[in-house]
Amino acid sequence: MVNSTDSEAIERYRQGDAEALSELVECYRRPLFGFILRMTRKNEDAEDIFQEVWLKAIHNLPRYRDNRFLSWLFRIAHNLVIDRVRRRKPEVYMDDEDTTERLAYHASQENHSPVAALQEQDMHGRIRTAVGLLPANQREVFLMRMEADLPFKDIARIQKTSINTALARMSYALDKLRKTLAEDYAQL
Amino acid sequence: MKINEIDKLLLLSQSGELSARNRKRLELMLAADPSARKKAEELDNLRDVWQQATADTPFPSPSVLQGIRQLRRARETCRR
Repeated sequence: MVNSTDSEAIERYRQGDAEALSELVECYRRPLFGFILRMTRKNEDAEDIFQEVWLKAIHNLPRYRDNRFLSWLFRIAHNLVIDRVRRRKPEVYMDDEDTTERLAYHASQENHSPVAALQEQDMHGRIRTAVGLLPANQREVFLMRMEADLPFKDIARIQKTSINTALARMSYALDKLRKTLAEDYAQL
Repeated sequence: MKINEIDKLLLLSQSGELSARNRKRLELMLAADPSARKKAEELDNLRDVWQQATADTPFPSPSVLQGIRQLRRARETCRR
């Protein structure tokens, strides 16, 4: 997926046009930050990593030769997210710390199951929570598709796996969402 | 991890990575299977629903963007 606007902005930046970088940051702010935030689940960490992604990008742009800029940014973000959560607490990457704890707390206070807690949110809240409950590898594939429309070929490269595994992770994620969201999913 | 053929083709179709030959195969499968057609519709709608569900995602604070600008300036100064 070659984006000519990206290539032009990168070339302009290399030639000294500082505004070109601001355009790229602005253009990819939402998908990139949304992805990082939903992988780290902490706004503070997400802001740090978002900044670090761009610092690494700025550092490496003079040597950048790829033609898939967004995938390249996501690859940097993927590595930084893994480093961060490993440093923080290994299980955080694999489990949904915030959501699981919140749902468990809610369940204990209200004598409700996590499923009941899910049902008390509006549909958008339920979808966000259900995605947050996905295992990290599946959540990552889901977010790369939904936030950035990255092709599976690039997702597989980022996750250092085969395209079939990336596809299977997405398929498993969708199966889980279908089960967790039941009626909401049927309305899609 | 395993994935069935129709799910695989549906996902590849949605991401624009389906070859012409597989597109034809998918069309035949969809014509023969109403549940697969439903899955295809769900997939088409899912991205819009997700974008709506996360529309209020907070943006990075201005200080983060300021930090990026400062680093960019610092690097430019070094280059000179």
